[in-house]
Amino acid sequence: MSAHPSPAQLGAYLDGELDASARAAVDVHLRECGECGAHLSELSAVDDAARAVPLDVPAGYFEDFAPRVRARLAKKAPARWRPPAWGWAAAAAVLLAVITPLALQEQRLASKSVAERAEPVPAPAASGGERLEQDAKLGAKQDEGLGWTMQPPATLPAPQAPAPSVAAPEAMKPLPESRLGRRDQAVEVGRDEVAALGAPASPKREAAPEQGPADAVRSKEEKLNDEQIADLRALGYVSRSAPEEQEAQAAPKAAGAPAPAAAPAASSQRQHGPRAQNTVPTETRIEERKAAQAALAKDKDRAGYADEPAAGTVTGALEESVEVTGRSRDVGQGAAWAKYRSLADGAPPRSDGDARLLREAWRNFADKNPGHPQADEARVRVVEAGALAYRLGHRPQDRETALRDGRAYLERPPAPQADRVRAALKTLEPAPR
Amino acid sequence: MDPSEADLLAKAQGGNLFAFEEIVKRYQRRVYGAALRIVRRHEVADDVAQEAFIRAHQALHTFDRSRPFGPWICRIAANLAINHIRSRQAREEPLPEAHLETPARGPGALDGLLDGEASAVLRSALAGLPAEQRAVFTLRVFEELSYREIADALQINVGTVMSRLSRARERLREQLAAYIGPAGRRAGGTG
Repeated sequence: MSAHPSPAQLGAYLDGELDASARAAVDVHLRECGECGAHLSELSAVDDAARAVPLDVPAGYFEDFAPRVRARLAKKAPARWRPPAWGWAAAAAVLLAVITPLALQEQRLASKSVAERAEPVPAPAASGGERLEQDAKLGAKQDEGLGWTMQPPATLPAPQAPAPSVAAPEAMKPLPESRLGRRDQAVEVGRDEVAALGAPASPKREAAPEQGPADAVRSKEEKLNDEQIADLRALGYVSRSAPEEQEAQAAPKAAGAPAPAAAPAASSQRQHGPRAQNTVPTETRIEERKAAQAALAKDKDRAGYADEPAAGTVTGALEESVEVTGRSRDVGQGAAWAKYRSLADGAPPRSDGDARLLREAWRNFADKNPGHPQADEARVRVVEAGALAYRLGHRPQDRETALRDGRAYLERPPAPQADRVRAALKTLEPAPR
Repeated sequence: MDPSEADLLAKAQGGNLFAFEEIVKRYQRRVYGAALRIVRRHEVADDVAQEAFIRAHQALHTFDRSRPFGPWICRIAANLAINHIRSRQAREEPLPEAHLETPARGPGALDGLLDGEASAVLRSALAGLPAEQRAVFTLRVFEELSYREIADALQINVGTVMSRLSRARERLREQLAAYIGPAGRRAGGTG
């Protein structure tokens, strides 16, 4: 009699996973060996017994499961990466800093032309708060110079194109439609098909905020890049270039303006520099844009986002709560702040499942960032989200979890927000019977 | 007539959420069941099942419609479930006191096996399997995935699938020996 097959071989035989020769060998052995035959029967009985145990599913659970999934998808699809409010201000500063050197060139050409025609041109204000206002006008003028919006005034010759060595105009051209995100297109297509089926279409994406003439002709993606640069810089992902650092340091002295006005003040200073000086900062900013995009892509990848994260949504929070990639979460302090904001600014949960995910996302944040200034806030939010999950779903497990989290918080000195936690715990009614 | 799965998938790949919702309805029990058998907690299985469909939708443009959708979505769910039970959060959460499964009711070949004490022993044995053995056992016995498919889903090699599955079966067999072994067969008159 041949040697007994191993239990693993018997299992593979049972599953039909052995190749022909191995299977034939086991067949021969089983004809001769009653012990192995009995073993095989027992393995088969184990499988049958396990299959015979039905799942204990809460009544009615599957009735709303599919609509809940669809609702999450519908909510997630139009979500875009949103910068915080201060990001717009930073983006505006960067935009001014980028376009002002080009505007200066145009202004110089225009002034030269006017001088040739012996028409006096008033000198620009040289200092003080007027510079900021002047920079704003120059910014608008730059839009003209790039041919984005208005035609040049009839009294002046058309501005010459910027120097070919300057990469900014090419990089800042509105992107073709094909370069917009695939998700944008998918959502549009989905809405049309849903309408074609006669079903209620998902609401259209919110109208974009009122835009200036220059913004109106620039693509969304282009604008996002500026915002992302500003946001990433504020988060510490992108450092200032050396010339910009000098400008930023010099700006408060030159213009007497606070830090956020550094870029306009610096651009004002550049008005009097030679042309070569105008091009260098622009090129460095183009490089900076690339670095910022790379940093953003890296951060998205690190956070496990397949595409643009639905920041501020509970769905985004799940990325942290369920570790699906197994990749290391080496999240820096800047990213921790970004994560905190995405959780804190997210839409309130509408279902117990969402609240549960939010609870775990907050727990994840607090666990991973115990020294973060908002770690205590995160621990409080764990309790509040847990209490909300119970109120929405009335599942006893949620109540127990919220009670356990609340007690853990209150027992953890100094518990500075104990009153808030107690208030959340008071909302936990006894579990329904 | 119900639309075919291929039609629904084609529409869903075009962005039709209602078509995808129909697919969810067809597979929700299977996906939830796979998740629940691995994570052992309803609320976690609910989260995992939802997320599995979300992930599937996000990756739908890469899905080959000539292949069956069921094994694909189950693999996604199993992966999510496995990653959950590997997390610290899962290790710290005690299993609920209530039993996950309830015994089968009504006449059947395994009634004797699953009655009373035997049923409790089986539930306990399933719950007591190491999570990664439980995942392999679930994907093979309940989802009937091949060893290769399980290996791909869990990112392990086929040999590991074979050994984990064998250990899981042997452990269950030992704990159920009184019911399915020679003594059990004698008592039940089956062998």
